[in-house]
Amino acid sequence: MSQPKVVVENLSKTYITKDGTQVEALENITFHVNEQELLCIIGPNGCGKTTLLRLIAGIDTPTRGRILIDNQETKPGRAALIFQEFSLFPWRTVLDNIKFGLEILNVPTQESHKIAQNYVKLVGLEGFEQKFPHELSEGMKQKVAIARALAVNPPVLLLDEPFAFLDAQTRNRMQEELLRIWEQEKKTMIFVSHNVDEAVYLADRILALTARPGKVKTVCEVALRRPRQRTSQPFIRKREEMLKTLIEELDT
Amino acid sequence: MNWFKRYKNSLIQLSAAVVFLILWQLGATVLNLVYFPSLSDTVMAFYQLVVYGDAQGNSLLTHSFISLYRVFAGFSIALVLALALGLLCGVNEAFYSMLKPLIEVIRPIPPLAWVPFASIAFGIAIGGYAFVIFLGAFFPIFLNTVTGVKRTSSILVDVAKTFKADKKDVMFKVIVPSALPEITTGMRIGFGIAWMCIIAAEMIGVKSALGLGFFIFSMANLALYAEMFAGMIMIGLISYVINEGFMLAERQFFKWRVEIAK
Ligand SMILES: Nc1ncnc2c1ncn2[C@@H]1O[C@H](COP(=O)(O)OP(=O)(O)O)[C@@H](O)[C@H]1O
Ligand SMILES: [Mg+2]
Repeated sequence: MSQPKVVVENLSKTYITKDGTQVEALENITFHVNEQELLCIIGPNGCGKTTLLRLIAGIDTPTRGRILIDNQETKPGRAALIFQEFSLFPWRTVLDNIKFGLEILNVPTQESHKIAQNYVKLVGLEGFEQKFPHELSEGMKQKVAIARALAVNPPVLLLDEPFAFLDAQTRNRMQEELLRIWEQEKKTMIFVSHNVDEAVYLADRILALTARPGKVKTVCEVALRRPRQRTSQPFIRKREEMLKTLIEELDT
Repeated sequence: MNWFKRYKNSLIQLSAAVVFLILWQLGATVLNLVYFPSLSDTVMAFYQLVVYGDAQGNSLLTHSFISLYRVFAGFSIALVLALALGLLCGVNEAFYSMLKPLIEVIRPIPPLAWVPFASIAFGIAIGGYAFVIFLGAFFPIFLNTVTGVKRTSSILVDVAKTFKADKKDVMFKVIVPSALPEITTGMRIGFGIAWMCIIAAEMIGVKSALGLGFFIFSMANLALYAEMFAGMIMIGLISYVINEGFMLAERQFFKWRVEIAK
């Protein structure tokens, strides 16, 4: 077997707040993600999921431990991060939002335009290129964020509860879309969720974190064929199993 | 009916203005005071001054341009410095807190209190006016810039960082565009203050022979009250046009902002 795409080793993160108190967010986390794998991370609110993604994206530094992507220490630009909150540049149109990363990389205008157009198509936003974010639905906004992240062709895509603010129906549709994009782009993805149903629907493997400070509780394989049926027995069984893991954490 | 609805606001504004003008005309005629000219006398004086100019042959437009020129000179310097310092103070808390006491002591000094100093230091040269205008325009632009920078979403800065943006990218691709609406508001307010300052500075300051402030003051001294009012109206009109221009630009360029605020 080839070496993993992402390796997280003995990772700890302690925040020091303004008044000097220490907040231990993550404690001694170790796991890996394989090439083209879709790993879901679940865990109760405040257990350090966002912190973990920010560390992998290289926009925060760990207190201890290290993160390797393609065997090299991570740094900004190596993993694209899709934020949970509204993260589009409100003054840029859809197309110009998608071009943002390409501009930073100084990709020539014509080429960047072509690339951006391609990703508009990939996420199914043709006809909306010149719209501003406030003119889009919540689901469309996250599609733009995904297109913007993919446009720079990052080795790894990190998604932080990207569908948390969507209604159930839109969320299900976006999950299908994401799987389609994942298969088409052959990306390694880390998808953070606190929704077990979502994790079981999407993941190759699920990593469950404990309550804060986040530690690895379990890692388990989801050996269900895609497209997965939410109403099928194996799906329901897997979901129950994961739910139990999560509930244990909420109780403690 | 539809037509009426569409222009309803303008119609109301227009009727209010007409009522006011009629009251002015009637009031001035009834009161019959030398220092309160009627509308018709003022309009006549305005026309004469624009077309033929004052006793020295200087048109009201010339006076206006001279005042505007002085404002632009001081305003441009204020804009450049306020932007540079505002961006710096917005991103660097330590730097801002170092400057803050200094700024907060100088800020409440009315720009006009500097006029005696300015006219001694610069004489009738443009520098004296520019200096006073600078003090009037600087603070609104500076403070709005700082606010705009601080209001920049930290998420958006993080987004830029995930794309490998360096400090310069973050500044010019995230912070500046995000703060631009506030900066424009600061410019609009700064310009309004600068315009009032220039008029006052021309009145109490050095005896230049040109400028709207000087013009009004000398008309009053000559007891030419209709001419004096014509000059005052010119001040109001110019200010109105420029303010509307800024507001139009704000609505036009920052649509994304207006919509979000809704
Ligand atoms: N910048 C920060 N400074 C101090 N504490 C923080 C900071 N960011 C997050 N935390 C704390 O770290 C913990 C984990 O936060 P987070 O990673 O956002 O959790 P999750 O995404 O799983 O909800 C929380 O207790 C949170 O309050
Ligand atoms: Mg989170």
